[in-house]
Amino acid sequence: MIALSPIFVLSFAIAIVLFLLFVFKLSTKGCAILTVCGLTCALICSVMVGYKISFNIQAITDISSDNMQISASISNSTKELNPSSEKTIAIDTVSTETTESSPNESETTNIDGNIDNKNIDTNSNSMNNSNIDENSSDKWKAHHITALFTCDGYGLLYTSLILMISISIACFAYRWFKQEQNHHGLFYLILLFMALGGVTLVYASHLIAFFIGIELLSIPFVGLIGYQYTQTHSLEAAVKYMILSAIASVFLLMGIAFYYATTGELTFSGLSYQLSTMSYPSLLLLIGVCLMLVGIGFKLSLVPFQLWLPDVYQGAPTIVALLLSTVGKVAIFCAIARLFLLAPIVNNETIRIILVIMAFCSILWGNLLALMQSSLKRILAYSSIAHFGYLLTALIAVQYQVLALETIGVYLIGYILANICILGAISLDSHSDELQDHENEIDLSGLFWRRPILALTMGVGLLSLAGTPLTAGFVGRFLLVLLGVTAELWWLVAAVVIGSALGLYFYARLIINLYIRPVCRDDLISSKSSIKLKWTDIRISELIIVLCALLTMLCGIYPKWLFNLVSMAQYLTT
Amino acid sequence: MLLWLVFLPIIGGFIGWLCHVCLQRGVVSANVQMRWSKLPIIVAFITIFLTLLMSILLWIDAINILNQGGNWVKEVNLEWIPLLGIRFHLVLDGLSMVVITSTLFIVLLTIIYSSKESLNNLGLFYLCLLFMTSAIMMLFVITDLFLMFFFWEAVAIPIYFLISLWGRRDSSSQLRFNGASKFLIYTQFSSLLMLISIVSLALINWNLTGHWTFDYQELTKTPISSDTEFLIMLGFLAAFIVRIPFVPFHGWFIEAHIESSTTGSMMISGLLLNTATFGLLRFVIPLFPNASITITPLMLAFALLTVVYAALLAFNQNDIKKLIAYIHIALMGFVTAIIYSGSVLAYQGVVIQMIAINLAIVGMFIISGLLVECYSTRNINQFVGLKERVPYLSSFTLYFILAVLGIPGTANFIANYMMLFGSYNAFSYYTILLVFGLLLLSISFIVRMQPIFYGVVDKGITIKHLLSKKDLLLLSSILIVLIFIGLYPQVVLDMSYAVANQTQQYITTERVGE
Repeated sequence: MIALSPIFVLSFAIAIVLFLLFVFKLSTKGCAILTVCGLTCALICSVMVGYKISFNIQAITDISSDNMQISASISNSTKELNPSSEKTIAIDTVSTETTESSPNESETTNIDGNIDNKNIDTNSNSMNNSNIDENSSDKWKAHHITALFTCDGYGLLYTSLILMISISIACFAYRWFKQEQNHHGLFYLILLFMALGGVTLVYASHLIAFFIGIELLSIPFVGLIGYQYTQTHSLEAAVKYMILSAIASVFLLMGIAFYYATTGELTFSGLSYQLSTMSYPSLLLLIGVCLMLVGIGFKLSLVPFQLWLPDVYQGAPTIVALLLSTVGKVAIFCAIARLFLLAPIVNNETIRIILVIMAFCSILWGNLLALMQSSLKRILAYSSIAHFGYLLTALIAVQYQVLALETIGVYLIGYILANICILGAISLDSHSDELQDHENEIDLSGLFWRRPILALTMGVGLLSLAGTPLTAGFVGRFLLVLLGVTAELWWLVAAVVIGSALGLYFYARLIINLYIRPVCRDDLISSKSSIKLKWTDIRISELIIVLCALLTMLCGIYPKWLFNLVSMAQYLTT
Repeated sequence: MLLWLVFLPIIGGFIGWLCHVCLQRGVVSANVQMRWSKLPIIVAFITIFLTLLMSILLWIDAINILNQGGNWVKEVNLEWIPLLGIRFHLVLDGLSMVVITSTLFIVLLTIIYSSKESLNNLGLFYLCLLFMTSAIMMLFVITDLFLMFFFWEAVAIPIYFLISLWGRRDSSSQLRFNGASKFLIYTQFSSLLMLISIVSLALINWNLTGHWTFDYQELTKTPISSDTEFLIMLGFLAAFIVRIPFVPFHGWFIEAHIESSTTGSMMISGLLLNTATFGLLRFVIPLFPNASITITPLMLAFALLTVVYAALLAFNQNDIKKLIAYIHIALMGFVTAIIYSGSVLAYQGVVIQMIAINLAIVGMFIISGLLVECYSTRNINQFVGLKERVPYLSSFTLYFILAVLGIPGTANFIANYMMLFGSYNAFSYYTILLVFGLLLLSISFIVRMQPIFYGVVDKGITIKHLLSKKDLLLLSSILIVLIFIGLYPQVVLDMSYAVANQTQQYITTERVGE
């Protein structure tokens, strides 16, 4: 049961916040602190459980590597490489985990001191345990919790990622609301609900849990998008999102029903068994899969279903756009990746072709339309369409399990970091009481001369999205090409090449825009010397985005840790 | 030592940047700020100077070992991504030693020259400059194909910023941005094709041997069917041809030169193009000897086209930087043609030519910068009576023109002589055609440049524009190096012999095998 602790902690936090909010009318600050505390506790739980589980998995997989039967021979070879450097893997990942979560921990002054000690203690304990007797640590194996949830390294990795994003967003939101007097505790409540939805989704191993997770994730979004309804386009975006998301959910539900009608199973593992025993898939099943693809396509905004995304991005507050592009998509993507890994749907030729076309069109559409936009949020919306097109490639080539998982993990981490850098920077530059966030090209031009730190981190984020070397995006792009060539998906590889070349153009334009010295106000600035930076201005939020930028660079320069972190997060096969 | 050599510039760049930032933020009084504003330049200069010293020490060490008949190689081998067998594997041999030294020398000149251009945000500027130096040196010593790709792309970013942020002053930022992004997109597109090739090559090797590796020394042993080899090589060539640049793909080169400042031009011409020819010698021919022989006629035709086309276009240029850019394109086409000849003599000529062209063209760019300073225009037709206006500059100009064309006594002469002599054995008729191409080039260059020495100057406005000592020093140092190599090329030849011989082995074994 302790494996489900992130979910319990989150629910508990929601209850507390709800109670305090309605009984004591908690202020924004109190709510923010409580939210961050709750999220951090959940994060600590998930990191600990995840570490212990993946440590044990390492020991198990190299004894019996034959339970990876679905995978092609590629997984075996990479497996052979793993054990030789097992010691270093274990040690390295601990350090990255702690560095990634340490700044978030240090914000919450209440429990600050204990965490590090605890982490180290538990790590050493588990080391001893596993050395002495491996059988006794049964509790830490990846396992199913009832039929609804699975607890494994894969899920816990993405759980921790989602929680980290939520923590940083809670910090950004506090800065964003700072100039208003009203209480904004409700925002944090919705944020917590959304985090709970994301975590549930990642844990899900049953189609009903999957559906509940998606709903729990998308319904709070309606509230978040329309939260600051005084801003322009806000209500339009909220209504648009609500209607489309409801339709998508219906399609998804219909698809699930068709699944159930054909196979009589709702668990992922049961589906996988049924599909593998079936000689050829029935028409009903194909329709079911297609209906599910429609629903998923809406949520991930893949090409025929992508039109809502730019409008919603533009209307939503920047932090919510950040949530949409990271948590909202990453959680769904992980759940689907788990479904695809377990149930070999992609082996069907028809579904495969549909997916290839979707990915191809998404990449081209996203990159082409982004060329003509002037609002940064719209550009990012299109780029997010393109990026999920890239990621779909990994999903199509899912039969190369190890490589595909590695690609998904590395690419998603790079994508999340870059998005936090860019959208976080925009949200720090704007306030909630204005009509619009500062996201037009004119607002942003010459940002470097006003707020150098924001401009630098934003530059790093954009470079990472464009996939230039020295950033995490480059490593992800490389793995993508590697995977595409391995799986011989030449059309998609071509799309990746064209897409990156096109993408470079608009990313580069944005970057240059940040650094152009504003001509007309040149004398003003030099005379006032207003760009003098005071160290006291740097707050937690700035620290977070600077850290994200640094991590992006680190992952680009020395990606070994990133690779090990992702390869540790095995998922449960049966 | 090798790691220090490669990483010192970028460390220096960061120190310079931090100094600059601290200076802006920490120091209050404007007086102190003014006095120390040149600090990044000094830091950059010292760094490159130290690196150059280090490379000279290595050079001396190499000569000692070579004299004893040993094979001089320095290696660093570290883990990078163990999962895919990617290793940080640097090998410094004679050929890379030669190119690295010349690169460092050019960067030193660039830094000295750049001190006169008043730029904003000096710290970042020198960070870009030194980062690029590091990346290019890394390209010269890396053996891992993935990291080669990594640095190949990494080089493009600082150049992009050099053009778009610190480019030509009198053009709008939109134009500069267009020039810079054209360069970046050309590079990105072609190099992603190369990435596909690299990955397929590693994949083939993995299918055969069962373990991932990206080290080209191991990948050369991979047996591939000739069709696949040809396709994979095309991917590599796409990247290299764009950067050489061959004629249909030379658009970025011209625009990059027009939109960049003199410093930027010196970096692009002096450093960037070398990587492409070096890559052909180091990677393409050893990896795909068989396919290289197959594609030779096509490459030769393209090279000839490049030489003739660039020479013809040079007749019609008014912009001095464009003129020099076209001359450079033609010369690079010439070098590429010779690389496919497959004789040791020609290869050694290529090595000398790579240094000599770069030095001469960098000299020409310095001169163009000085001319623009005197006449405040880039139109060649406006340059009249150079001798009356600026003392010494006319003689330097003449010398560099002749050096580019390769008169005896300069390094270019030795290089041309060896290259043509070597390739005449391989393909005699083609070599004759190539000589005609070179002749055309000389004619066009002289026709365009010669009028600037003559012409009547209005007596009234004749103010003698004196060159500063720094510029004289710069030009004469290039001149001395060119003459030194021209008179005693044995130093370079000794260093590069082993590699040239080895590369030639790959091609000849294939020929004999056929």
